[in-house]
Amino acid sequence: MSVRKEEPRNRFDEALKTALQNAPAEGCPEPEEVEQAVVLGKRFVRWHQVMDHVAACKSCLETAQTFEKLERAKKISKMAWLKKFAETHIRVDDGLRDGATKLPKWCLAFLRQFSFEAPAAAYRAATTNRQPAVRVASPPLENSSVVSFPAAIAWRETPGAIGYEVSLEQSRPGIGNGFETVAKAVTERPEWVHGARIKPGRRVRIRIRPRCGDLELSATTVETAVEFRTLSNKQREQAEWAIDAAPAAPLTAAIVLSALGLHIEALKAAERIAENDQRKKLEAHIASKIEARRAEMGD
Amino acid sequence: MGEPGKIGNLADQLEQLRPRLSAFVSKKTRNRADAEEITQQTMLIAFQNLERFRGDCPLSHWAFRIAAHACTRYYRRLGSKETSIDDLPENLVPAAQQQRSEESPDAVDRNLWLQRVIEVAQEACTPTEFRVMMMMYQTGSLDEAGTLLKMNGATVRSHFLRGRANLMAKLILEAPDLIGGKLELDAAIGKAQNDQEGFSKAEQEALASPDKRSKAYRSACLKIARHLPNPF
Repeated sequence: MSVRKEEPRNRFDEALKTALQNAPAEGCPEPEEVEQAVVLGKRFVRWHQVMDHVAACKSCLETAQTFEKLERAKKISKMAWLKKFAETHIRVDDGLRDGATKLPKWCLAFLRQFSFEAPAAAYRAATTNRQPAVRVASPPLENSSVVSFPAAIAWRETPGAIGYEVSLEQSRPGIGNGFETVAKAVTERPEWVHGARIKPGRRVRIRIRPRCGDLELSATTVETAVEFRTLSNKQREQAEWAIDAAPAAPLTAAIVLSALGLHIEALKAAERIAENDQRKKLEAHIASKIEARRAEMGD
Repeated sequence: MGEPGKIGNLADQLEQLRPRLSAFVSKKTRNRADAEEITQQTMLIAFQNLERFRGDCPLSHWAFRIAAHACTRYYRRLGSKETSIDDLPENLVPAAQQQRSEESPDAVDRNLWLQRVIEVAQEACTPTEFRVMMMMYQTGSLDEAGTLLKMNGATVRSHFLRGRANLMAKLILEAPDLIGGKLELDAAIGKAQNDQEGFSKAEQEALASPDKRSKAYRSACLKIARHLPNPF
């Protein structure tokens, strides 16, 4: 990439450049703040203040440039995964291809973001000894996403239960705005089909509480709550593409599905990878995500 | 910075930075064993090079740059299939910066001048124009400024040119002492007038009734700026 330069055009420009390059470092923000400004950009709450200072401070500018180089090295290292792990499959020279399958452009973003790092940061560890009375079987608990609602929800029967209170909630738009109840019902059988439609790209919470004949037992029964998110329309298209492409481009399909939270489908796609080492490594990675998901859901 | 007392003091400050460096490296590598090793390496390099620290930036920034260099190296190794991080660390210490001559009257004058120019620039430009302009003066590179400010090169360039014109118009109109004084300014206007390009009719009218928001006035100011002397 050619570096585009703007040379000083007059003596004032030169004087200002010299003065800036020799200015003392005063009132500098902490390096952690500079790093946050570089990594998060305008999402960092103090970005404007920090960048106002960085722009006019040689020392902080050097610090910011060092952090920026680190971020670039991190990204390149992730791309190197393509070379090391998938060099037999993924080609980027003649368009993006997985084997003989030409991949849509958006696949590159999924491949770049993929990392074998432990998903610890993405999932909260189970902090309580929740022992759910019921275990949801469908939609599969292993997936953190569902392609669409309405859906049939089924769970394993709880011994002694004479019925189940089921409620379905969806997140309100915006971050941290809580959930709203979409449907509520009491059912005698461990399955429920609801008619309400959940909007795409929302978090969904299903709560199931067994009702027991014994009131005392009922009061101590632990409610089960599982959470999913519905895919947005675009993510849904991507998931459908990946499921269709799995026979021909299993590696990419597995990565895309795993990133979308459809781990069961991702495992199925990974099973088709011909190369043994790659398959085992990817399967182990997806399994670790499933494990983390189960721990989070208290299963 | 070569005296033993000062070095000892810096070493104490450096030791206090260890938990922050460790947290930074852990966040970057997400691998406990590697993070510990990189932190240890950073501290070792920093202690070994304390004499080279010239005090022209906060010690924390200097130490964090060493840590960031070490992490960058770590990622490059990961990318190039090397796994060991035991090699001798080269180029991890930020390049020794020029010794600032803080005591010299020239430097004091220059820093005071810079402070005033920055104040004028902050008044004359939008916040984005100010950031872009200052970063462009420092780096001279559209790409570097664009990367840090999350903008593309063309946007950086247009903000830079607009900011520069706004600054120049404000300096000529309200702070001629920062660009050499009224006499030098008049001389520069005369030279610009007699220049091959000269002023357009709109620019001449704008100079007669100055308004720093007028496009013609800003354009005339940029022509005048070509003939201004070095303000020092």
